[in-house]
Amino acid sequence: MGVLDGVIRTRVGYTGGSKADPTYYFLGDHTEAVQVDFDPTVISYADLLRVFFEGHDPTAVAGRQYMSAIFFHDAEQEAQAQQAVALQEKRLGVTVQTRVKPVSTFYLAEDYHQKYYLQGNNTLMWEFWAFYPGWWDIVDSTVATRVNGYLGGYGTKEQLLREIDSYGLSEEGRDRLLSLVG
Amino acid sequence: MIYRQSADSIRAGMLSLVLSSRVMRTDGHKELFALSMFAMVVFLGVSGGLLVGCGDAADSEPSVGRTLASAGPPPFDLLAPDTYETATFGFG
Repeated sequence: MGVLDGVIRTRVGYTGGSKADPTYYFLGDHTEAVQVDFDPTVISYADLLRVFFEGHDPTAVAGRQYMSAIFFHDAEQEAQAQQAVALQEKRLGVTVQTRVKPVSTFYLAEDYHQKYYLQGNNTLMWEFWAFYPGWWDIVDSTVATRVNGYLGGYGTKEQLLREIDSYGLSEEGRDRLLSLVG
Repeated sequence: MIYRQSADSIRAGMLSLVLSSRVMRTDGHKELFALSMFAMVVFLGVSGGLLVGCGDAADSEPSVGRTLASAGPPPFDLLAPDTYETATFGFG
């Protein structure tokens, strides 16, 4: 979702459970989730729901840690989520496993889970360390969110070319990113 | 940066060793003076090695890390609106 126009940032974490301060190894009854901040004047919640269902198999049965879930933030999101689930069931002709639940405290996952693909690229990581003094500033960066998405194999080169000049990358970083996006 | 800091600390270390050895020599502590001189030789050898090592480490850093040392947020990040909505999904 990080490469979508209108998405400001994504962060991974744990939510939906009752255990305080969960961690990857002590998750309790939480679910691994992604939190997406978005500009509703550019991309709608309905668009995000569509991408969410396209991005995984909602009919797969999974444990609580990896379950398909929509954690709604208000009544409008709840209504749209229920509608989207019904639409998926009608389209697929089977019951989907996606749970629609109210969002609870969102606990950020450990630093090594954030911007996973970006962390795997030393050249580009150096560029972000030059932009920002701290790791969590990088996690909140829209450019880092975009670059992480591109490095993960999402988005198109045409889309990247439209934006890359405002990413603030050096010539070396720019060339490296373009070479890795198909 | 690392190179400069290492050079400063080595200069300070040398000065303190020389001063302490002079004090011991004038007091007539020959054994302590010899020990002090030996320590100074060892110190110079180790710090010289560290100095060379630090120089190599600095040179091995990616060039982008140094050329963009105070770049600040990229322009694209400054375009992010102050008001936004949040969505949360779990999909494995």
